[in-house]
Amino acid sequence: MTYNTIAYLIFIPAVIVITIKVGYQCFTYGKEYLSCAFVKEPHLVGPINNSLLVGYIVLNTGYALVSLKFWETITNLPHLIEYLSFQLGCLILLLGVMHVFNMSVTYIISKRKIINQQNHINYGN
Amino acid sequence: METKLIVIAYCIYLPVALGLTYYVAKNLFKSGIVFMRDIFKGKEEIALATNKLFELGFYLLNIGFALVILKIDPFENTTQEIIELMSVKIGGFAIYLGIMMFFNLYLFFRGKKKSNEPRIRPFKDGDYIPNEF
Repeated sequence: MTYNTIAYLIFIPAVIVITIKVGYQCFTYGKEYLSCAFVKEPHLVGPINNSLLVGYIVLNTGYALVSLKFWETITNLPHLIEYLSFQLGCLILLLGVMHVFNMSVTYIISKRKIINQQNHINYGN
Repeated sequence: METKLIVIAYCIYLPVALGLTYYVAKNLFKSGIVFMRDIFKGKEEIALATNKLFELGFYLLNIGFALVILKIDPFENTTQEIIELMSVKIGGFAIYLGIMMFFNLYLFFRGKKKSNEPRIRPFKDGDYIPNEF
């Protein structure tokens, strides 16, 4: 068993577990936001949330698995730890940046929506 | 012997970095929920959800960063040099964690301030108005 095989055997389950865990956290706590965004159509919240979760999991695991093709050959144990940790770290960092970006977008949209509602109430546009 | 030293260093760095992240996040978001309740004015569910999502982002960013900066490149594989390198790395990561923590606290305070201001401004030309309004 080469070092690359060991790395793959650790990397693939780790990626799948991390993606699914993060996805379910967002799924559980994002429901609240979705029901704020779709006040008029509450029956859409569940399906939209589900399809977002599935799409996210499929895209992320797919990306991680495709990226395996471009790994370099691993020669020894320290290199194994460094490279594995770097790859996992990049993936988690990417997830984190996407998450923060999504949250800021949600914040901006909610602000705009509240301002529009207020204008609607005040000016009757 | 040389490779073993590096592996030991990594085995020390990883639990320390992850444990530090866990400790900071736990303490920060234990107090964060109080701010969130203030910001959302008693809407308990959305306050909890926002707190959890902030926590998730904090964990993802910091653990990702900790893993990315793991690699050390010792010049001559002596115990002394590796201890110095690891110490610099852990210290640097702790400082980074502190900065992130204060940034999060700043966000909490800013949110608290903003939630007390009325979120309304006069209607201007060029404002986006959805069709249903």
